[in-house]
Amino acid sequence: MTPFQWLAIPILGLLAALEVRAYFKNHQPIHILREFVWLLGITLILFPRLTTVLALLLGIGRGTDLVFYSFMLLSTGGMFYLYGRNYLLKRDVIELIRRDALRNATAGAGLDIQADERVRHSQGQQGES
Amino acid sequence: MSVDSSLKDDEERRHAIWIIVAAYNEAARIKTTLGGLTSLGYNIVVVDDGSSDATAEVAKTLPVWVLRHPINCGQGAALQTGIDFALSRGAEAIGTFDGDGQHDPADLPQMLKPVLDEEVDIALGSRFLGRAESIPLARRALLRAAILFTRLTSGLKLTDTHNGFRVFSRKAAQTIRIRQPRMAHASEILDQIAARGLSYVEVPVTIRYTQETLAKGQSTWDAVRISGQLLAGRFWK
Repeated sequence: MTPFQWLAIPILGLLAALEVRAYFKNHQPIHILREFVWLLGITLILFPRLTTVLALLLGIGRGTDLVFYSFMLLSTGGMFYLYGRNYLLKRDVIELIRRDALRNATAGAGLDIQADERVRHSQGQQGES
Repeated sequence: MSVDSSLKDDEERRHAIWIIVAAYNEAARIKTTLGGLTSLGYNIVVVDDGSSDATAEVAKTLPVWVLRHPINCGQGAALQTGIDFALSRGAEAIGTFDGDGQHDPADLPQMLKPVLDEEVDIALGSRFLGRAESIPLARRALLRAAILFTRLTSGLKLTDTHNGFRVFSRKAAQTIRIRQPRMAHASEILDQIAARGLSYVEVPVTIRYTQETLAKGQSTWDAVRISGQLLAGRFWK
């Protein structure tokens, strides 16, 4: 085994073990997907020629190109996923900000709040009748 | 009907009309904008969208409601906050009006009329049916491209698609939910009008461009960003 294999495989092995533990804790399918990624990493580091075999099967030619293309595709997918998470998070933050703004509405100088309340009251009565 | 009861009806009608002004760093212009509106006797809500200047403080010196976002969320988010507030106060018609003074308050009665008369759910201001004073050629071209984009995406045949001057009936304001926090909200509103089958009419209005309003307006790059935001909004609902 090469020094890189000695370094990378224990780390990936630890991540794979933690993933199994996490899956048995909460049974979320995402852990299965991640486990697959860690195991694939271990396999390809242990048997580097496998990437070349796979690349030839896919018509790419070189194993390094296959790794590079896969990395590009996964990065793009990851960015898309993070953008979506960020988008939804922002929406939730805005909703919280909105609630705060509505709770703390302030009447400007000279605003006749009493007249406003009178009209609201009379509208309420019309609605009931 | 007695004069007293007619006056009372008129007062009640005015109290049922709410105008939302979304403002971001408009301390220098907001007083002039609001001055023209408050004299009309409608309810005014200023939503200060996290300004770093004294926009909210200036607005508070006038007879208007002031709501404040502690951080900048975008014009779409500010308008939805104002609409939620107006609906909670019993609004029957809700107008949106830009805080930078490019709209003319004198256009409000004609914008309100078709909604108050229950002819349509929404009145949309159109600068190309009315007047666009000092509009640069590049801005005109960009707005024309937006018209084409809207026609393709929503099927609505409008003459002006990114005009912030609108009036919603209560029903329309309750039906439409602005989820695009930034400038893409203008296209999103039109998409929702088409999708929910709300009735609308375009009303001629005047827009006055100044150096300040142009500096805060949208560029060609913003048009690309708006398209991206709309696309994102369709993916993550």
